[in-house]
Amino acid sequence: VPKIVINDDTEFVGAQPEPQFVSYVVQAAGLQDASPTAE
Amino acid sequence: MPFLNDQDATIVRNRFAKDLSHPVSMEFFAPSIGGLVLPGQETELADYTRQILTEVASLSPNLTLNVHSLVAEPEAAQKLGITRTPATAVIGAQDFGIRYYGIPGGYEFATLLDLIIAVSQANPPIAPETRGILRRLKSDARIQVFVTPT
Repeated sequence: VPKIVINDDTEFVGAQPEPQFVSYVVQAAGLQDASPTAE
Repeated sequence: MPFLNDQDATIVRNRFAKDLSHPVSMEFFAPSIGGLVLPGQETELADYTRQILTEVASLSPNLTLNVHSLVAEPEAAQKLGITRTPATAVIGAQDFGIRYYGIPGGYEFATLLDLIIAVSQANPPIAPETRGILRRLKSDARIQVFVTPT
């Protein structure tokens, strides 16, 4: 089972569907136009 | 003894002929290349990885393997962001930042083939929505995938 680490601070284990994977990437890198309350 | 038997080599050769649309170079870094081996250097894994990559590179005219020594070529390693070995940078028309650390044996051999083809095609099969989100990222994302050898 793979372990994925993004920007050394967000991690998860196992294969994830693409939308879920992207949500982890967004969590780690942030979005340019994300509102402060959007999560 | 070769890593790939004749049957597997033929399958990989045919897959490359079909899917490898543009040239790809594999920049492989070993601790050192022959000669002096410093104490503590692990060379066996690097030697076996080099053998696998050499066989893979021989299966397509679109594939190039360049072998480097981390000790003798620190500038080349630094340029590609490589600090440990065995490491392989897989580079196509541009450097997408793909780095493979360790030995691509077992199930990971398929991973190596997939990433070589993905780099060659430079068009990953991701959804348009995903591309839209990734274009809006605030900063680069460094994604590391850890697997145990199988």
